Amino acid sequence: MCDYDREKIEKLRLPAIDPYISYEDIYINFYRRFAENNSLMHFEKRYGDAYLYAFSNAAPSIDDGELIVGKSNRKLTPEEQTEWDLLKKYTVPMIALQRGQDSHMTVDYELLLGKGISGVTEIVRNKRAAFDLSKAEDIKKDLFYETCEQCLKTVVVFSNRYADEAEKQAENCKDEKRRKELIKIARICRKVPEYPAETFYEAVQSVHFLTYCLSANPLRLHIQQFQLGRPDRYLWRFFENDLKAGVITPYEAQTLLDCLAIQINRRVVHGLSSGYMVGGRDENGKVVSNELTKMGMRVIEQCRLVYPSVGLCCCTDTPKEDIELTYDILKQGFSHPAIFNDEVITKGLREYGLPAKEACSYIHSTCVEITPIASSNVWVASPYTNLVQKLLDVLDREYDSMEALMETYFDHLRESINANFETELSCRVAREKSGFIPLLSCFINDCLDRGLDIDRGGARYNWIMPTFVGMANIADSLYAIQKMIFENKEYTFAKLKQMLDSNFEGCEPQRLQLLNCVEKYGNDCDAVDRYSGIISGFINTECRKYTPCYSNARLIPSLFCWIMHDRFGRETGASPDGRPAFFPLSDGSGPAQGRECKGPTASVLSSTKWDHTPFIGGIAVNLKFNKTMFDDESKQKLTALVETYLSRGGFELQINVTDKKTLQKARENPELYQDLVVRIGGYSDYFVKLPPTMQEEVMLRTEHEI
Amino acid sequence: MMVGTIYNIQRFSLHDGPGIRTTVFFKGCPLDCVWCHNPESKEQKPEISFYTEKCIKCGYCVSVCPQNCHTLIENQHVLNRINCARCGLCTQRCFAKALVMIGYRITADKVVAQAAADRAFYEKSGGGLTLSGGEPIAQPEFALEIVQKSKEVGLHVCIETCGFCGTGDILKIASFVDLFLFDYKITDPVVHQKYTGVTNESILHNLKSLDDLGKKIILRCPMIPGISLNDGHIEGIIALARSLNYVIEIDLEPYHPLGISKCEQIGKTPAFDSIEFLSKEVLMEYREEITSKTGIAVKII
Repeated sequence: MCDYDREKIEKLRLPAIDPYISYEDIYINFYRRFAENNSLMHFEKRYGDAYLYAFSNAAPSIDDGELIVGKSNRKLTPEEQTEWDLLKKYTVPMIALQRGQDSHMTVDYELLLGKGISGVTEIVRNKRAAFDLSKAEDIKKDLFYETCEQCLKTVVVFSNRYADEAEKQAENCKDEKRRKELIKIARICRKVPEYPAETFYEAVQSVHFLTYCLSANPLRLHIQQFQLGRPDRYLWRFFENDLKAGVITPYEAQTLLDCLAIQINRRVVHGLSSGYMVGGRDENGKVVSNELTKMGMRVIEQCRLVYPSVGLCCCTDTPKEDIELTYDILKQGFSHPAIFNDEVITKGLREYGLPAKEACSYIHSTCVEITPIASSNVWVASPYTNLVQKLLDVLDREYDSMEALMETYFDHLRESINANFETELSCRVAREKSGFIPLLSCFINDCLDRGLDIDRGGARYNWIMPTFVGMANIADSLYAIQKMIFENKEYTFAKLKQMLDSNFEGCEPQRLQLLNCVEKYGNDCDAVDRYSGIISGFINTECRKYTPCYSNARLIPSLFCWIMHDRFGRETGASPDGRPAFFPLSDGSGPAQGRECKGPTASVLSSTKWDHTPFIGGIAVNLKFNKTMFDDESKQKLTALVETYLSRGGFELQINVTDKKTLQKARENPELYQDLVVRIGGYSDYFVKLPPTMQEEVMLRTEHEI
Repeated sequence: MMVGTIYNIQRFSLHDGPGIRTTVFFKGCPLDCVWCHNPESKEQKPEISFYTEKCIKCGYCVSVCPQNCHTLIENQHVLNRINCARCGLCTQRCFAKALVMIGYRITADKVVAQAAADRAFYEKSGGGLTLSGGEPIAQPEFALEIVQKSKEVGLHVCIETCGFCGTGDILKIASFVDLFLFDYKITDPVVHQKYTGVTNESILHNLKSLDDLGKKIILRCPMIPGISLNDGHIEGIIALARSLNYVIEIDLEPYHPLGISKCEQIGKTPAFDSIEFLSKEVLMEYREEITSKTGIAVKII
């Protein structure tokens, strides 16, 4: 290795585009063993025994060219599949509770890199040494620690099996370059994660290997989404030392980061999310901006894969070049990096009681859900609430005033928040009994201190984060009712309900009137925008009522939707904002699709008129630009737009650069794309307003510029 | 308090001066350029724009029009503009926004208030307010009050003008303007008259007066194939720029045919109907030439 190894990355990325990912190879052995071995008295002992057995019998997978190793992609044989189906049917449900949230978190990589598995094992052993096993209480705690020790040992055993595999491949390898790589892989896998990492390469391998092992969680059979935290912090000292010692070049480091990124794609299936954040401030308040910050973002353009999803944490003094790098990446059509407002998030975390040292160390737990790194039992997006449906539910009667309607709506919403909280809490109680993730507990504070598994209340933070979908639709709907029923007296609630129930059958002009002739959220119109403030304020106040209870289970609200705007939309009837039945709800917390008519400045003003700080569970605001907007001069102006959004307290911003495919969709469905701005020779206009011939022209040019 | 006629206030304008801007489009223009990109801005009187593809044939316009201009024949919406008094009643009942009124009366105070809404963005980007059109100085008192009040609240002000106006008016306004985007369309006065309806003598005089006053100027030159895209005009641009002291930039604006469909929407026939976009590449050589001979930055926008 001497340069950036493009050839290698190109070769490795291909199978990562649509990879086969399965941990069944591990799970089948876990359950076989667990079912067979009932000589061990305790659930914990059986877990530990089956865990070691499962990993000891799983096949290591090292593909040609890989530098960072650890993945599961073995397909079960037909016989195994039959056996696994039986285990899934009869054994798994007896043991594993599949409900409730999990993963979505970042573990304590500093601990891993600084002490290695051996160091953590030492901590566990010291704890055990103090127990008096003639006391029942101590027996209980010791069982937890004993299993932790067993699981830590399992990781070391498994890593050494990768070393064996690498050595075996090296023996038969005719390519001298690859043979040397394999020998190095073997050496590194014998050392990490067992011992503290000493080089950049070792650190990257150690981080990946632990994360990979965590991803196979036998009690939670669905895919786990672990996040890689802040690589530009925990990897920095290794990079700096290696650079000084002359054992690595920035190109080699980039190659390794790319290899790490490719492995994320081989660990997490499509349609979910996994990634890391860069930038922000360290615990001394100093901005983090180094070579790894940029390299962490460049991974996106080097690998061109769905993962990692990268977030840049922006502070008031984040260097412009870091922000500009995001544009250079975005203009190529990538959906990342997303921009997070470090000032707002840190403030929000402080308000929820985090000390400064922890408030600067957070992760977007897949999309935009913020959780503290290394100390959270994450319970994000639990559950999703459809704000629009809750309104439709109460439109079955006449109201004397807007206030009366709001009161009924809020009562309904309040009941739903309460019911949902009870459900989630109940699920947690169930997990206290049946959940068990000892390896994870070793790397989440304060499980080892407390002697409690993460599923049994060991984590320092146990927030529940419900999220509310359809913010723009609810603001628009409420304002439409205010204007059409109370101000203009165009119709009654009964008439409105009849139109909605029939999906505006025979009332298309009325639907268009609601849609086009009533002001909408996202256009800097205070009369509408105030509803977003009222709704978000209500949600925040309600959620605060639940703090703090059962093992610090604060209720922390969110306003993002993942793909639920589409799913909810498909099951929600027509709404008073002129949205036809079964259309998607608004995504994120910006204006509803196609309703931003006054451009992005108005949209930014609208979406920052209310306080984002309490919504640590996540807020997403999207801005769409066509590729034609990304010339050098416009880039400066887009920077100013983003800076203004951040300085007004915006939480997160996702800039989408649309390509020809989007333009095609906009032609077919202009109503949803009224906000799409394109540039045509010296001037910008809304794409859907252009006559067909001009649209054609823009599409041709867009394709040309890709 | 002055009231004037405009037809659009566009926020997040990126190409009408420095930074993020809000552009106010005045309605009415003393010139009649054949290639006009914004034909809806020529007349000061409001007009009814009709977007056929948006019409849902609800017939609401038919029932409200006092002149019976709208008819639905065999599910086709026919708009007879001859009797249209441009009262706009139909546009108020057109919820599909197929019929839209272009042009409305507004006070200078409201214009300034709307422009000031994006102040935060101007501050980060060095932007501000741009008056464009149409021709802003065709409504001199209205324009004057806007720029005056904008300056009072500290906005950066640009005016995009064709320069065909009273010298007194433009100079009065100039003291509240930071930057002029001054059109220079055609060098030859006879050709100028032929394609714009007026000669360019008074325009050049006004330009010179602004320069004498020390006002910063960006020359904006529409490049229209067969009319102004020729060596003679490029030489004219060079000579003009060299004769002035305060030209900070020269913009070459390649022809685009957007005006044609806009003409059709307001029921007019385009006078210049080339549907070819002029590519930026064609202008590269001219850009080099102008820059090398004037030392002034040239942009193709």
